Amino acid sequence: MVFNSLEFLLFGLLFFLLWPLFKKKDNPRWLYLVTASFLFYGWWDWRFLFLIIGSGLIDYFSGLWIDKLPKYRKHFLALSLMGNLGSLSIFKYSTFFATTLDSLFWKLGVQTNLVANIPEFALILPVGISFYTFQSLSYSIDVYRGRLNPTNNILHFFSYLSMFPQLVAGPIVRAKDLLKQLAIVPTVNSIQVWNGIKLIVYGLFQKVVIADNLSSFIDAAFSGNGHYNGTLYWWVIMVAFAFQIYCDFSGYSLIARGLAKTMGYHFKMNFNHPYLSSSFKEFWGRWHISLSTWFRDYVYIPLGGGRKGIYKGLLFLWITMLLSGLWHGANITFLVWGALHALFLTLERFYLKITLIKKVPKGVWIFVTFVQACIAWVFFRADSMAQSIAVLESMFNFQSTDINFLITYFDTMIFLGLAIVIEMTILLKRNKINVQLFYKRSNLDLLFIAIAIVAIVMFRGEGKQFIYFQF
Amino acid sequence: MRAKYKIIFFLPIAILIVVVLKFVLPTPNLNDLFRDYCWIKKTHSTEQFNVLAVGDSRIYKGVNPMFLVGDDLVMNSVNLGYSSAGYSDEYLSFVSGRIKEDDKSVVLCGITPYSFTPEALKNEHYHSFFDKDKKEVYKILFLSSYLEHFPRYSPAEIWDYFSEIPVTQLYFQDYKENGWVESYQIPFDSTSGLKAYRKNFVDNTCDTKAVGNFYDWVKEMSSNDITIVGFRPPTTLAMEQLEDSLSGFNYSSFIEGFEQNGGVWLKFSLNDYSSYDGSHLHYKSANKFTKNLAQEIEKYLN
Repeated sequence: MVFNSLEFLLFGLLFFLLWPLFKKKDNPRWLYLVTASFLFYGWWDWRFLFLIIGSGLIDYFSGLWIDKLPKYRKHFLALSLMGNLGSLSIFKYSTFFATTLDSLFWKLGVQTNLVANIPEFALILPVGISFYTFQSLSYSIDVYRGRLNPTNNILHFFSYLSMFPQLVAGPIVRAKDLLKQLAIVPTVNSIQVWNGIKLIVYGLFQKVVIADNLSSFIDAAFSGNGHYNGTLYWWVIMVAFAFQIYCDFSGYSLIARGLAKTMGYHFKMNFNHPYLSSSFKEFWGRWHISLSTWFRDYVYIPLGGGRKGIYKGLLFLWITMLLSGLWHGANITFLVWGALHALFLTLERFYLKITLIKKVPKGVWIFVTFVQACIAWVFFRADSMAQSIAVLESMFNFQSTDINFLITYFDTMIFLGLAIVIEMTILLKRNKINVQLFYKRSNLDLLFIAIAIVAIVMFRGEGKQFIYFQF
Repeated sequence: MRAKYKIIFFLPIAILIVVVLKFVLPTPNLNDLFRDYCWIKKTHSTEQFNVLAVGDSRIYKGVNPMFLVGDDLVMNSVNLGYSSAGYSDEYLSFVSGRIKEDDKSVVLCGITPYSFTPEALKNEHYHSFFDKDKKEVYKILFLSSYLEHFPRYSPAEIWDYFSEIPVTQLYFQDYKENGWVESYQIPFDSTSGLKAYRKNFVDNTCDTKAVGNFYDWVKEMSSNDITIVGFRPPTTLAMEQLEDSLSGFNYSSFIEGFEQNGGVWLKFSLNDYSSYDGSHLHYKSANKFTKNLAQEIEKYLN
């Protein structure tokens, strides 16, 4: 079930209608949450439920046994890691690994066909598998590290793992943040409900009005049906894609946070205007925050972080970014995307120390960081390395500046312009207390929410699935 | 203002703005919800017909079922065309399932060189509706009549409506429940489709096996007293020359085989009709063409 669908509207209305009846007692509340979440998830394909239940059971019992049998805690952590990473490897990476091994063996003169031997069930990618396995993993790792007491109640655990707002595309909520919240009776006042509604509406606006209206322009270009080519065209395509993926994913996170808030729970911010970052370090503090902090806490820092000297620190950074690339997709293009981010972060560590560079205005750095992000997005969006290279060639050969596509895609340009204007307004508004106070006192939020709803109804794009579901 | 009042008022304010804008703004050229409904109905309905127009976009834009059957006949007609449709076994079986077999029936097959190419035989457009999840089909079929009051608006159309300088090339498509799509384009450019068609035939030429399968189907249908009528949908001379030179499809030998298997071939003059993009008929020409087609098939229905 997707948030921007009629089914979800009905589901959501029914859920919130009955929520006050169940939320007052622990077991009925958890059972209600789990049942609703399984219905939400099983709407795609009920068979996917077996995986989330299986993966959840492994972590639930691993957590209990790590706590009760400390002598064997390492074994139980290993069990949890194998269960989660194993299912992720089977369902997400088996084709990638098999293809890579096949081509490697062929180069060595051994003719193999591992791809053909992958069982059919493993070719299906269950929706949101990367999100809930990481969420589940954080539980058992935190229990192992002694940072979290495991829950004894299986419903409590599954209400954390499967809570529908964030189940399929994040934010990746940590057990230590959510289990505590789930353990008490949630209370909501009208301010929280209003804030929740605002988040939901802004999220839907980002997804339905911005991201969906940009998608056909980008899809046409990458499928070869764009009928245009040239430097300017491809730069506009990549800027559009930068905003499409941002609004698509940020929109989902906002809706998830809004739904949780309306229920009485708090999820941390997942996106904080990443394209207003003046460095890549800042970008990763603003882009998919729940994932970047997950990698920081469970990969980068355990490896050694920056504590073991500059070169080892860089090595750990590269490992983390490559894994982050691979998390996004089982394709060499995602690895290159991760590597490019690692490269930009590496370069930044050196050149930002140069005094002359420090004097360059922040606005210039925001622009430079955005351009770098757009270049990296090429690998994220392209289907293959060959296509990525062809797109980059078009972006940098400066051969054609045909602007006719701006008229052909007039609608797209309007929505792209709107997305840029919104971000620029945020930039200009940032740190201006007077403007923020005026916004608050004048009740402009009520008007903006009404206008956003009008835009969602009248200027929505063609309904598309959220991009991040595939991860 | 207190939060609770904002919660009460935000929806009424939004509804009020939507209502006002619906009066002020021009009606969108394309209602995507109704469009989806038409495609889903075409694909998933089990209703059977006496006269069926089948083929690619030249058919669903070029043959209006409303004029196919005379008023005095108790018969019904439908257009089962899809974009880039190819005469694959699957598509032919879909068509067979929609023929009213216990009555006189005619199937009008628009034969374009592209419709026997490997790309066309994939029938991707048809599949995009056929493969839809059952829940989605149900939703579109039964809720569209309510949702179609909320069409999507295009900023470009609004701009054109209020401005002296148009920014868009107007591509008008009006979907009909009988499968026809009334269409035209402003400005009129009878060469605009040529470039795309030139590209269509790169590494994608006529599959002779598919032609053979089509003949088998024609033979089977004809033996069941179903009249299979074939024709080349009228386009432009430039388009016909381009297709003849690139597609590897030979009309004269195709017609010979088609007629040998029981099919009836009809020939139409290009001069009587106009195409707005070099491939598809302007809706007025489509109506004219359908009336001419109706005259030709009348004898098979009486």
